[in-house]
Amino acid sequence: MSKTLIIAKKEYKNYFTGPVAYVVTGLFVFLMSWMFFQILAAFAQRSPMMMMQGRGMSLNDYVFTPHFGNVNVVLLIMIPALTMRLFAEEKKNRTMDLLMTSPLTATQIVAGKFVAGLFVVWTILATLGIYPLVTSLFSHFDKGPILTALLGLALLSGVYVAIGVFASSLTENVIIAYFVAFVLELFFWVIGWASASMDGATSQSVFNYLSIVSHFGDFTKGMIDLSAVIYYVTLMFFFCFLTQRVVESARWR
Amino acid sequence: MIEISQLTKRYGPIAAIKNLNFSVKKGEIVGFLGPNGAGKTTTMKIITGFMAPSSGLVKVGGFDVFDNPIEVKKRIGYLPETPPVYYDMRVKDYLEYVARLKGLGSVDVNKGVAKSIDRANIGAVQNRLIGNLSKGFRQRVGIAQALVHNPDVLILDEPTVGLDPKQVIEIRNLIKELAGEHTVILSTHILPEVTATCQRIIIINRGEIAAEDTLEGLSRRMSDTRRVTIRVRRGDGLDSLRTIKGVKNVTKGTQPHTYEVELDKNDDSNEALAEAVVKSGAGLMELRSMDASLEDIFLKLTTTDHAQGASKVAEA
Repeated sequence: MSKTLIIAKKEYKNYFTGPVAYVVTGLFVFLMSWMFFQILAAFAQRSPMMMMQGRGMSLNDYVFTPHFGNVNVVLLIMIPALTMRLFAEEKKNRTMDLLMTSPLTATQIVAGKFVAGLFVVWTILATLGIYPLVTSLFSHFDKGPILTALLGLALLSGVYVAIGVFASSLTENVIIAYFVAFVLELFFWVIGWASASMDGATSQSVFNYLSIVSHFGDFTKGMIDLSAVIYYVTLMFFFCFLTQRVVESARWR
Repeated sequence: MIEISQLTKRYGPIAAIKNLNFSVKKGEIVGFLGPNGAGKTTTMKIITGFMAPSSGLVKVGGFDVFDNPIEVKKRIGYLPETPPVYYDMRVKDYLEYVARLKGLGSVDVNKGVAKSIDRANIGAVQNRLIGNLSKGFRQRVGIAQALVHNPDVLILDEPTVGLDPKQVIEIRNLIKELAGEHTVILSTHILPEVTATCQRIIIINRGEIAAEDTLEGLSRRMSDTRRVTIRVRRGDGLDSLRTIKGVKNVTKGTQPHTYEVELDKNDDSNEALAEAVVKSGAGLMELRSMDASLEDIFLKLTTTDHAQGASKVAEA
């Protein structure tokens, strides 16, 4: 078995041997269900009125798009909490010694941790299937945008996990790891705001392109923009690369 | 098996170790001895590839630690000062994980885990969470972890810390058993441990090797005199002992009615000494040889006042 998979498997199992994964998943479902129900109720109230005015509302635009936007916000807060211990705890408990003196490369260690974090988040994201499934029992809507939005969330959460793993590698304090990850993620959200204050069209589009949320919009509309996919994957690789450098540098301190 | 030449590690301007040179042959048990902060752990971490040195060369089993870290790490079992155990894992699962990390195939994993559990004598706790174990058991899990892939070289940083006396003896016996098949470097500041397990001793002080020899060799080198303690029932007039052949000096001991007699190293004059005491009518209670203990050697080599003396000894 590849060393990356050995680490990934152990870390993934670790979330489920303790209460962490269950508590997080449970609360995530609770929160998302509450939010989804509120959006749905508001939609049900307003929809007949709009119909009378001759402007039909689609479930996709008025329920699922804001719902996935909410998921995005919750992930932004939740994922750093899931990833903060991946390296920080190893350093604090001195188990990093084991990894550093085993026949492993820094790349294998980082890849293992990243894959484990990613799969835990994807496991939790799988619960999002509940909402379109239940809704489809009593209504019709376009399934395409739901699938692309889920793909977008899967990619976006990969970026959050990569940032979280990187933040965790910087410190042995989990609170610092959490906060660094949270701020970095948030910064990539709001980096696009700079485009409003820019004059040149080029600089505006650069900042827009850098923002992680601006790309997510396309996914909820049912589009798979290749440049967005490339952007997310690049960010994941970039932060994993930085983490690899940090882990490797421990040898030289 | 292990060759170290001109090894230096600096932390900023401070040199933790300076120009270390030594080698360890296959199957040897070498004790690494020194006061706190002498550079024992730093040296061990460099040998394991955990840390890179500022300069110098380390070879394990013919592989350079820096050019070929993966090959070296396959051959090394390392027990750091704090056993690298996950508190939320069960002992057996943990050992299986370590075995896989070290690159064992699935058949070897089971064999290796079973053997290391047996060797470290932790069969009774193999299904318990490591976090719930006592410090001694955790330490033994740490030892099992170092043994699990049956490495050629074992590097043990203070392996008996936190164990009860019976466990200490077990672990020392285990380490002795490993000799021949495995090469062992163990660090400690518990002196009897070295006496009990090691064939060769390297005393390191302030990042430099203060002495390197077998235990007997060190004791021999340290003194050309032998000390004998005498305890009598009464009397003070034992100055007459000075006249016996081979006796160099007689001083009063710290306890009442005790004397410390210094003798020529090779002159076995205990008999004459005993006879003289009995004849003097002081009432001989005890006559005990005081070999220069490792403690004496250690203190002599590592105390600042004797720094000069130590370097002379190292030259001799």
